[in-house]
Amino acid sequence: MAPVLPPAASDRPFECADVESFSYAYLDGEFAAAERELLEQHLSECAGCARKMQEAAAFRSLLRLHARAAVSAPTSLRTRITEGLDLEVREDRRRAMWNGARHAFPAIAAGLAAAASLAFLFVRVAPFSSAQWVADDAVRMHTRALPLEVSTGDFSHLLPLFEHQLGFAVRPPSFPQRRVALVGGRLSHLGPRDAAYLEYGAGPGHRVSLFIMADPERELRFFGSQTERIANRPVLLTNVRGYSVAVWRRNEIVYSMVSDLNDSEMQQLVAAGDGP
Amino acid sequence: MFDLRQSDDTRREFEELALAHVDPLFSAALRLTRNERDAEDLVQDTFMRAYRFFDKFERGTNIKAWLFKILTNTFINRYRRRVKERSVVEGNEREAVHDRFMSRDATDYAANPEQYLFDRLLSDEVLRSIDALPVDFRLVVILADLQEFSYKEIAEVLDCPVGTVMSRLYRGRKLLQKSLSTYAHEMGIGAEGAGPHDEQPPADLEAFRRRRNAGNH
Repeated sequence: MAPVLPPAASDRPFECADVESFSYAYLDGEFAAAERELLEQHLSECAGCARKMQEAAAFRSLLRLHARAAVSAPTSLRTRITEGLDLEVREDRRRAMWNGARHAFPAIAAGLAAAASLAFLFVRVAPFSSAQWVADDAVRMHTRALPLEVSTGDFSHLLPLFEHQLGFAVRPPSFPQRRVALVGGRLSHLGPRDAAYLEYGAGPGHRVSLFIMADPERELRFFGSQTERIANRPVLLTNVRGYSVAVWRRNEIVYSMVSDLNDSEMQQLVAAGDGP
Repeated sequence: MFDLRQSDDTRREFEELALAHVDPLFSAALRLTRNERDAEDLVQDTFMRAYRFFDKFERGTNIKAWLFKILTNTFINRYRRRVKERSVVEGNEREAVHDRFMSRDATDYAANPEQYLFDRLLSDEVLRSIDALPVDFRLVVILADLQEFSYKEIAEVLDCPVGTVMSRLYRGRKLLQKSLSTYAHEMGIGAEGAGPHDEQPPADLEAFRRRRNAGNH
């Protein structure tokens, strides 16, 4: 709210230069009553300012009238929003169920998690060459928030788990950003490929998922308008269902990172985590 | 063990409060991204993020302003770069947007065809001019002239001082007045925007008030 001028100030008249500067603030209703009165007094005495004010007012109305064409959102958008909310609610419930089950029956929950990841193998076979597809699947896994097998902030506790199960050496980045810290990990998969899953915390409420998998034949392709060069490597940076995703490859290893951080924070993480 | 009803209640409350604002958010998104596909994506993203952060929304405050804050942040953080790459709007797409949104009653046309066509042309030209504004000016013009937010609300949405809102709005409108001068002339509005003060940002209203007060003591 515009502060009301103290009485002492209200007898000081407006000058022409002030009118020029504040015509729009006046027209937009940002003036306090006392200021308005003073300005209007000036306008009644100064034909030049009155004309300028009239022009500004006419232009402002013209702009508002024509800019405010009645736009209605397409039905498809409303449908998409409703479907998106359906998905969010389902995921909330699944998370609530996992958390409940994890407390009540830890062994069963772990078994179910393993079964769920196996079941996926039979559901979907898609071309492996599309980095976008990896991004989509990483987001799907990120939102499922399955329980961690090892909860640790120490990489040396986590790497043995991967070493025996995956046929490649997992070299997870440790981010120099202090607020991004390892929380734990588990075995996972993207599409048909086994992957190491690492979870990082990134400040209150922010979770960063990192999937690491082998691409020995270098089948994955990085191109298109959403591909950027970071640290001299092509990186797919995209948004899926409101999450930021980055996918990149280092030698024969593919990294896929998901979070609700914004693009520039993601880029910083990719650049930092990619190492020398 | 866990409360499933809670997420249903949250969703119902969210829908009641937020869904009423899909249209204004979409029309703002359309001006920001300048094409329908990105505008839809931007609004969809906005709603998903709003839902996820709904517990952070302070009940009883202005939900529309809160949604616009998420929309502009999402746009600035995620879409600006992408949209820049696609800065050339396909003629056909724009035409389609125009036809769908501008088709007023045929009676308007019958009543005064000349006026109707002029209005149509002018509306198109106004939107085109807004689309051509640099993004900082475009944001404040969208929030002030399309959505009629107050300076204070805009300052909150954009996380900047009121004085910044005021000077960007002033300059944004001056730029528009210049690019629309042909039409404005025809309607008897002088090209005041082309004067020497054109590029001068206005003085800060708060500073002006302080100066006035100081002068009186």
